[in-house]
Amino acid sequence: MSATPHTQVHWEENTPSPCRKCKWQTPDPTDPLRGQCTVNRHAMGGVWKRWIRDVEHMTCSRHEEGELSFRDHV
Amino acid sequence: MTTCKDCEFFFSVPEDADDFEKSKGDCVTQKEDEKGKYWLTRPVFENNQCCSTFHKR
Amino acid sequence: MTGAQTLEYKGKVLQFTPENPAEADIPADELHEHLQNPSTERTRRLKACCRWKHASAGEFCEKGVTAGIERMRLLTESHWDTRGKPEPIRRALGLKNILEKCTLVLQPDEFIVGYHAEDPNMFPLYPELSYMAVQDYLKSKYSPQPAKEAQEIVDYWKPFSLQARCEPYFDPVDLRRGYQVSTIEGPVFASGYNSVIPPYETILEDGLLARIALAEKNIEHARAEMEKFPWNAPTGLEWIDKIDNWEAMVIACKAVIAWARRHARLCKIVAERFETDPKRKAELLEIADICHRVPAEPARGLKDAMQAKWFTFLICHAIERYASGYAQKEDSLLWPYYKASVIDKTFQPMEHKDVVELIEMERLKISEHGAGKSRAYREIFPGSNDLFILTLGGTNGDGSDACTDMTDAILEAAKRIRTTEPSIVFRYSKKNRAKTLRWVFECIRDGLGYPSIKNDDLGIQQLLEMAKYSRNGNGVTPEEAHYWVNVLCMSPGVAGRRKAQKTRSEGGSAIFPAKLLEITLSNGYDWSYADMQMGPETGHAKDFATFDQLWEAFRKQYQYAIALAIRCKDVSRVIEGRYLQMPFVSALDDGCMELGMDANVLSEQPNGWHNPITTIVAGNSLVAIKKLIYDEKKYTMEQLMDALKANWEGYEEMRRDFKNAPKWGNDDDAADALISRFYEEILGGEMMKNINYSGGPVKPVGQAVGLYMEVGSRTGPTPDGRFGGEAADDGGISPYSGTDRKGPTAVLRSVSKVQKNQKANLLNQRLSVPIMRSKHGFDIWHAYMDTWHDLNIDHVQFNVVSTEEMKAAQREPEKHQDLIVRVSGFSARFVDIPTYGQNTIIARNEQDFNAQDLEFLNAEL
Repeated sequence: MSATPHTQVHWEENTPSPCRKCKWQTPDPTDPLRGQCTVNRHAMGGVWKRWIRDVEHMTCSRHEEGELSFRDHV
Repeated sequence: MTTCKDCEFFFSVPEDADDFEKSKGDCVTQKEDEKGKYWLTRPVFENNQCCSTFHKR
Repeated sequence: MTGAQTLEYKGKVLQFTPENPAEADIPADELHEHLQNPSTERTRRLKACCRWKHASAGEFCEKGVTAGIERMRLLTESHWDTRGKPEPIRRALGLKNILEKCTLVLQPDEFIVGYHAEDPNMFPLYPELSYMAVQDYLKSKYSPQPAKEAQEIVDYWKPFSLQARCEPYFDPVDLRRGYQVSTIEGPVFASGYNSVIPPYETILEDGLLARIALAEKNIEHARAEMEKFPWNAPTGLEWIDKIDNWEAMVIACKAVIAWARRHARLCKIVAERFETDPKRKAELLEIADICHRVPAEPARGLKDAMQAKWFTFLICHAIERYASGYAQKEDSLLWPYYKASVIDKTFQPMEHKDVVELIEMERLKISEHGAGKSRAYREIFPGSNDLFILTLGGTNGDGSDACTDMTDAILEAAKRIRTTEPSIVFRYSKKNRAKTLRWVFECIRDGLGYPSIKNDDLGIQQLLEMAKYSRNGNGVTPEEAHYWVNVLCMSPGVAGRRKAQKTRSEGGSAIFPAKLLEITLSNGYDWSYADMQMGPETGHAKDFATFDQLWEAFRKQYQYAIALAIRCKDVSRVIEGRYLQMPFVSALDDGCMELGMDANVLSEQPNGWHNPITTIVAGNSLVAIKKLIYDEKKYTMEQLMDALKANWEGYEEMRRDFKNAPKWGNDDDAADALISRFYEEILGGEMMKNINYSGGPVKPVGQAVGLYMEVGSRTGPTPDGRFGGEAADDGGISPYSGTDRKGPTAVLRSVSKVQKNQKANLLNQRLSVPIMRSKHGFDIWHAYMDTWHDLNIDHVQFNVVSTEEMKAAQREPEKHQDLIVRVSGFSARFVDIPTYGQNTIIARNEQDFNAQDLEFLNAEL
């Protein structure tokens, strides 16, 4: 991936800002231990998801606590 | 102890019913939410302890 | 011409003013809010308080929807208590325990009664299927309560679940790839998603008491055979499994009769002890009588038939096991009861308008039906509950038109009540009567997005072709082949008393060519979503010296993925046959009853299929690569890979070149030749090398549902000019949205070029509101449909909705609750679709009909 590592999801053991609590995260379609990061949104409307291997121990610099409406997800 | 047998909402299952059991009854109650009222029924027994919707017969 | 009001055609000037002059006064951006017209005050009231269960992006759109615990609890209790018993009997006793002890629901105003959870705001869960799916619920705001008990239940079931039993037969690496839902849809055992075609005909014609008698007679015969002298073990021991299956059928049928009669008792109690309105009291007593008689006895009139059918649906689709769908040939199924009640008036006499009301009520029952599906399936049908699709029309076994006044009643009800579900498939034949075609058109014109149209002849032919692979030589006859329905949204399957598909392991699930192409370019590695190896190492694109090398590398990726996907289904099938028996469904199937087999195990009519979704992104990409890299050599593959990794940023001119390369759907010979070859040689040709459980080849059904959005969001930038995370193409064979620029007949010409090695292909088209609502609308549409039919095209479905109305709905969703759109394979309430998805529908080209199009269609106006 071309973006600098910290703006994309990365492993950080026992992070205080896990993806699970982030508003841009939505659960994995199959495995509840994993997730999907939706923070990468293109001006033209694309939502380029990234897989989150572990929603408890991954984070990134764009973490924001909260929840999005289903209207803002895919 | 007040039991289901004493409740207005308890209706004994008739003996010829396919699911008849001695002292079994239907507990028929009404619930309401913002979309409206609806009826629920579930099987109980005469000597079950009454619940919060108990209403003396 | 969508904005213009006139067109010169064959020496005439055609005016496109509204057929209903009153519509001229309705603002274009709120048309759909004026189209609803429920046939009675009752159905108007029922719709106003309908407890919708639409889901979107994994969430439920309405507040207060939540999972119930009752089914889980009662199934678990029984599973524990029945240790040591034969598995089919455990399953039957599980069903019995649920039906004996579950809470029943009765809502005011309703005539068709019955619900599948303990509260009309709830839906049941299925811990015996996928442990991951249920665990996901427990982590969500929809968790059943009490949460502690729910967790204990999930923990209990984990080792016994379908998922846990199937997983050991797979390499964990392959499983992880499947669970991504990026190159293939997740394995059925990991989601619990399922489909079934219940033998409604049997229950309506026979009643359950007759089925019990049959099973008991079979048991008696089996025991007598076993006790014969001399004992012959090879044949004698075969009776054991059969006896277990028949015993299970008896238990299940008796339990369903008792459960139906509990409803009768509820209605009687409410009528006699609580109801004060004399009209409603009388009606409740009538419902009580119906529920006492059916489904124990055969249906005698239309009210009987509707109630028996509804009870059967609840058991087959939600209580015995979860299954998506509403598969039935509803007009043919109900015709004898329409005749009895409306024409002959011998039982439950009524008028045609009363039938319309009944069907409206049925539609609202379906709209309230909550499905405890896994998260993946709460994502991929945005704005709807689940895939509830019934089939109408077509031809009878003798080749005559199958349309009747029952067909018309169902269509009229759909038009009047305006719900997204159930969706309707219409089997189009040139023999269909004009009166019914007019109703089909009016539903489409009103923007319902259904009926979706299937080619009747093609459906019949493919069933006959697959019959020759039957494992027991009992595939469909020519007459039976006429009685087909869509199993879910696209794939035909036989319906009726026997041979119908009973599990999704037979046919269903998807594969995603766009993502496969993406990883083909990177040696099988998914750099854009999962950051892991997703397929075999087939080389890096920069090393492919020829287009053929790229083609062959894709073939290998596809071969790996499709074999894995089909293997997942067949392994699941075997485990379903061992541990997930369906004794009630089996009791209704004449083959299962005759042979003493469970419905998962018996296979008489092969119907294997798999859905390629996102094909056109891949196809258009291959066309662009071939043209710009290998033919014209304007760019190198290395340059392309750099541009893709940068999401085209800094490569705007290059992106324009790739975006402007020839696209599917414009009757471009070069693009169409390559893409047709892609469909026929790779998607179909390679898939069909795989033989499924039933002994037949698996065939492609090009599809989309909402997966074009989900998989689009997990697919990086592609060589067709797409940005990373943009939606993919919205139908199995639909042009990529906005790229079909040569008009609607050019699309038909492109699509008609794909013929070989296909089972079905979904075509989405968006038609102009002013044209369709004008006095020429029906004639144009009819001419279009006849041309479509003669070009041997499998399918088409329509959106008839204006961009201005959709944009108004985005701004003020609360004012556009009745705006329905066709997503793909299903219809949805527009305001319940996420913005991302809404924009994909807005982007679809609104087809103009110019004079050349009308000439091609030979339209007589």
